[in-house]
Parts: sequence; C-alpha cells; structure tokens
Amino acid sequence: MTILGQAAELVVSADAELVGIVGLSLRVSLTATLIASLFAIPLGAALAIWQFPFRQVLIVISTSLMALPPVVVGLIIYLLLSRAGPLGHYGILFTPTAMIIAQSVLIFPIVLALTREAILPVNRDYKNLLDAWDVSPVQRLKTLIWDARFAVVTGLLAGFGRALAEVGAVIIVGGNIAGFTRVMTTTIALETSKGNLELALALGIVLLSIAILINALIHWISSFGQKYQVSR
Amino acid sequence: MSGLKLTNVSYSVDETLLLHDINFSQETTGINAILGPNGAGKSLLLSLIHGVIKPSMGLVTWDGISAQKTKLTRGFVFQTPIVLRRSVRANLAYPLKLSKNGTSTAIDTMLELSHLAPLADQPAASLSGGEAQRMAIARALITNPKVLLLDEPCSNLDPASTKLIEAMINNFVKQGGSVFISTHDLAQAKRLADVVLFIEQGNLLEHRPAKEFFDAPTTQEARAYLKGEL
Amino acid sequence: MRLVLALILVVYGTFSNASERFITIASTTSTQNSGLYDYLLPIFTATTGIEVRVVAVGTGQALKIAQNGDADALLVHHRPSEDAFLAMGYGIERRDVMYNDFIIVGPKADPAGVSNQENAINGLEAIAQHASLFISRGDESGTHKRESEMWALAGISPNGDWYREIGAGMGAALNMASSVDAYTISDRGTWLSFNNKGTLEMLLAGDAALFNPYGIILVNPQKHPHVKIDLARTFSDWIVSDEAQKIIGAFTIQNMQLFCPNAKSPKASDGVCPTSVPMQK
Ligand SMILES: Nc1ncnc2c1ncn2[C@@H]1O[C@H](COP(=O)(O)OP(=O)(O)OP(=O)(O)O)[C@@H](O)[C@H]1O
Ligand SMILES: [Mg+2]
Repeated sequence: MTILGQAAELVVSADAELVGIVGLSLRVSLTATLIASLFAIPLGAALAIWQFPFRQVLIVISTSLMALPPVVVGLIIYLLLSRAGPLGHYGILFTPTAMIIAQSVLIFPIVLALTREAILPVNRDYKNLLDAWDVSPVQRLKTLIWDARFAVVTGLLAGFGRALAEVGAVIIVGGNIAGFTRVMTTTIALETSKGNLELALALGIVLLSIAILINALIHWISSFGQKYQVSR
Repeated sequence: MSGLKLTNVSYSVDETLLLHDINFSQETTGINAILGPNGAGKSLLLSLIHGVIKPSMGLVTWDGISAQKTKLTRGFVFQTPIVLRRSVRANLAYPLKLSKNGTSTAIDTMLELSHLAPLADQPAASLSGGEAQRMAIARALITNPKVLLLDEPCSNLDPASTKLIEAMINNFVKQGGSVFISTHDLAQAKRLADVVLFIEQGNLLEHRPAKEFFDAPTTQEARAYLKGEL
Repeated sequence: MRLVLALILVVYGTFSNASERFITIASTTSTQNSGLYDYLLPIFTATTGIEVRVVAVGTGQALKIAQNGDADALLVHHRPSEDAFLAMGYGIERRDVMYNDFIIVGPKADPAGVSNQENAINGLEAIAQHASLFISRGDESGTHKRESEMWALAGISPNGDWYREIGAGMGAALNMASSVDAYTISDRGTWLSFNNKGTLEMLLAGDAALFNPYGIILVNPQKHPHVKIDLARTFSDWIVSDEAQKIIGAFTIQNMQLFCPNAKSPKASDGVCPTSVPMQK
C-alpha cells in the first residue's frame, strides 16, 4: 500500500526529474523502435513474401538474435562506440544516441520476426491475386504491410516494450548519467543499489503503468481495424 | 495475329505433367466454357491463359503478345474468391489504382451492378460466399478489361446470385467483352457458352462450338462426362 | 495515426538539446550513490556553465573507460591503480580531493564478534575463523581491491561457502548482506546513504588501514587528443578550491559528514575534519 501510494505520489507530483527520466525513456525507446522498424518491417515482409538466396540463413540468424541478452548487445555497441573502437571519433558513447543505437539493434530481430509472422498469412491469401494483377514488388510490400498493419503494429509494440524495459544495454552504453542518459530502468537499478527498494518499486509501477497505458492506446486504435482482419 | 493462341503448351510441377501439349487459338469474342471433370486441369489452364503462371513449355499469347505481359488488360476471378482485408469499396478501388484505367464513379456503378451497394463499407471479409464471389467479379470488371476469366464463379451460389452473375457476364459480352469460364453446371454452360473447351486429365480433347459439343460430342470421354459417368 | 504523431510530438517537443560545454567524468558508484554529485555538481555548473556528466561504475571499469578516452577525467579511490594509470601515461595531474574510510558492516548479532576486534585485519580473521557469511563485491572496484589487499595482509586467501563473490556494486552487496545476514566491507558514504540496512550495523571503523582517499586525474590529451582538457582542468581546479572543499565538507546525511575534503593536506591524520567523521564506533 505504501509503495502504491508512493508510486501514485510520484505520478501526481510530476516531479521535474521524474518527468525528465520518463520522457527520456520514451524518447529513446520510441526512436529506437522507429529506427528498427524502418529496416525490420520491409525486410521482415520481404522474408515472408519472396524466396531469395540466404533467406533461410537470414531467418535462422534473426531468430537466434532474439535470444541475445541486452548486456551483450550493449557491450558490442560499447566497444564499437568507444574512443578506442572503430566508431569512436563520433564521440557518441554515453549519450542518448548510443542508447538509441543499442536498443535499435536489440529490438530489430524482434520486429523483424514478428513482421514476418504478421505478413505470412496475408501473403498466403493475397499471393495469387497480386500475381494476377502484376503488382510491382514495392507496391506488393506496401499492400501487404498495410493490410497486416494491426499485426505489424503489435510486433512494434512488443519491440517497444522490450526496449522500454531493458536495462542491460542502456546502462553500459548510456552510463546512467543523471539528467542526461538516466532512464526509468537505470534509475530503478540505481535506486535498488542504494537500498531505496520502495522508491525503486514505485518507479517500477510507474513504468508498468506507462506500458499499460501505451498498450491500451494502441490496442484501442487497432480495434477499429480488427474487423477487416478476419481471414476467410 | 488476333485473339488467344496456345502453342505446344505444357505445364508440369516436379516432373508431374499436369497439362499436355495444348494447342488452340480462339478469337476474343463471346463466351468460352472450359469443361472437364475435377482435377482435369481447368484452373491451371485458366491461370496459364491469364498469365498468372508460366507454361513449362510452349507459348501463350494474346494478339501475339505473351500473356504474362498483358495481365492487367484481363480480369481474373479465382475459384475461391480472394478478398483483400479492406472494405468492399476499397477492394474495388485497389485494381482501379493499379491500372489507372477507369474512374472512381466506376466503383459506385459496379457496386450497383453487383447489388453490393448496401454492403459497400462493410469489411469484405464479412461477406457471404456468394457476395464475395460477386465482389470478386465486380473487382475484375472495374478496370474495363477486354477479357474476363472466371473459374467456377457460381459454385455454391443460390439461383438468384447465379442469375445475377450470368446477367453480369452477358452484359459484359454485349459490350464487346469476351469470357472464359470454367463450370460444372452443364445447364449453365448450355445457357451461356458459344464455344466449349473440354479437357480431361490434362489433355484438350474437344474445342468446338457449344451446340455441336452438346449435341454430338466426338470423344468417348466427353460423352461419358456429359452422361455423368466420368 | 494522428494520435501517434501527437504523442511523438509531445515526447520530443519537451526536450531541448544538451549543452555543448560539458565534460564526462568516470567515477565510482560510492560517490554517486552517496548523492554527493547531485549536491556538488549543480553548483559547479551554475558558476562555470560547464555541465558534468558522471558515469559511475567500479573503479576498474572507470579506469578502463578513461584509458580508452571515453572520459575527460577520472575520480576514483584506489591509489595503486591510480598510480599505475599515471605511470602508463594515460593520466596527468592527480590531485587529492577528499577521503572517508571503509567500514566493516555485519548483522547486529555479530556472530564472529567483529566489533570486539582491535583492527580491521583482526576483524577479517575473526570472520574467516567463524566461517561467517561474507559478501565480497568481486567486481574489481576500489572497494573490492582494497578488500583483497586486506585479506592478503591478514594472510588469508578467502574461500569456502562462507565467502561469496557477487560481482556487483556496493549497493547490491549491501542488499545481499542485509538479506542473508552477512558481513561485508563498505565505504562509509554508501553505507550512510544506504536505505535498506535491515539488521546490518557498522561494526568496525577507524582503522588507518581503512583510509579511503579519492583523487581526481585528468585524461592525458597526448594519448587522447579529443579530450576536453581545458574544461576538465577547470573542474579539477574548482574541486580542490577552498569553495568546493568547503561544500564537500558540509555534505551530510542524517547529520553525519560523508567525506572529508583533503586537497590541502592529503593525510587523514592531518586533521582536516577529525571530529566530524566518527572514526571510532
Ligand atoms: N501446384 C500444384 N502442384 C501439384 N499438383 C497440382 C498443382 N496445381 C494443380 N495440381 C494438380 O493438377 C491437376 C489439375 O488441377 P486443376 O486445379 O487445374 O483442376 P480443375 O480441373 O480445376 O479441377 P476442379 O474441377 O476440381 O476445380 C490436379 O490433379 C491437381 O491436383
Ligand atoms: Mg478448378
């Protein structure tokens, strides 16, 4: 009860620091989701639609990548972005940009696999029809992604949720710098390490509430189109 | 070289020959019925004629041009109607946008013609089998094709829907279009067809005016088929 | 769609770009967890306009970060490592900043009788003798390195069920000690600001062997030309200035001073703040 109370208090007080942390979490994870999607959605759709060389290899690799622990992704990005690493001269280690990169890499395989799964049944339905109409590859991608959009968005959401919830990668590449790269999860880790278990849990509840809110919102939006999705 | 021409067309899947060396030509006028028992190869032949699949051997041409290059000038309706996961109206709009041949008022005209106007904004997935079949035909007609290919468009339809679809077909032909239709409904074939193509086990056995075919089939197989023994 | 766009606008609109004038400091979790930076750095930023970004990790990792050139300065607490860092040419201009001390904490019941021991070495011997649970950071942090040195001084190579290396930060070690009634070694700052003590108590402190000095080192611009040596030096100059040293000395938690500024006199015994840190339990 006290924890719930504390969580509620945190939200109601809209403490500037907390707002900043929540905002940064959303900004980083949303951007990462958008960037990952930009590549993962067309590629995932292409994997569902066409046979091409190394397709199976790509599928196996991307599925395996889903099992990659965030810390490992974080570590790889860290080594790449470190001044001692190949991309060091950009100087983006310990910035939100580095966190966005790490999370994009982390959720890319998720969005890819879920997009592929979302497109597969629609492609199975549509293939002959689109063939009969001589639909161009680009048009075909657009049509299938659009008509599978609610399932695709669900995949995006799963990716976004994973990004928002992960701590291992962002703490390594972001450095958990107060007011700059500190997000909800790293704050929770930090408060836990300070023994502020109740504050940490309250923050966890705030995080959960945000996740529920966003999911409800998207679910609500997608329910408008659900009726078109019924497959025959 | 006008009309449809098949030259030494064979189609096989994994070594299995499904259509054997088919040769014929057909002027693009009137209604051509493709008849034959289940599994004879009617759907395959229609797909080859449309160009949606490529012959393993031989050539399919329309007015001398390979079928695969002119798909959009024909309308094709699959044996099981494929609906886009959109509204009925959006289903009709889709090919219109692709072909740029036709106007958006065509959608409303087509909806009226196929008696789908009240359902225009329903998701197409919720249509009944007959309604979906009508929508598929309307969708095939909306781009003003010269040729319409119909694969058993009236299986599972009630008499009224069948009548409506036959009216749509006749109307299309009256405006100068040509139809290739496969059907198991011999009465329908007699009502509609000007020419019959009879295939059996992947072989084209007869290609003659409908009246001749029904009055005096020349092959053993066709006789058996018409008597319901094949 | 419009809703989503609106959401994106709200999320992005509220953020301004970060300032250009900033330095990155690799530091330790102990200073961070104590809250010192939250208290100290805004004052520096307000006077100089320079933003300070603190990456708080174990001393070992902090050294690594600085060595790779991913930080402009280093603020850690393990003198031998710091000296090695300077000797290898990665760092320049080390200055003493402040100190506090390490303490041995453990369950109130104190089964090994650590609180009766004369000094820290004896305390560790008692823990080993009783095979009482002991949590070791095991993460190459300054605290962990110091702990290892003390075991070495006691002539004990700790192993067995009672000795648990957890490979985590100070807070995690304290959390674990608190939940399984174990002993551990902590820096005083983290201990005082730690909020989940449970039955844990400070059992032994005040031994000279537990002296815990913090120093600031600038990353050598000859190794890493991109480092912001001028801004970093401004910070270094400031943190040893009378003003900053006073602020550090005034930082308290529950009326207890956490750090003793010693930029002027680097020895604990010099008496910069002998009374404010309760050196004996
Ligand atoms: N992709 C394929 N792979 C293997 N066999 C196929 C394939 N497509 C069709 N066939 C086979 O080819 C034969 C002809 O099929 P087709 O669909 O043309 O028959 P049909 O004359 O339309 O029959 P129906 O009256 O039942 O619709 C069938 O035996 C069918 O099993
Ligand atoms: Mg068929």
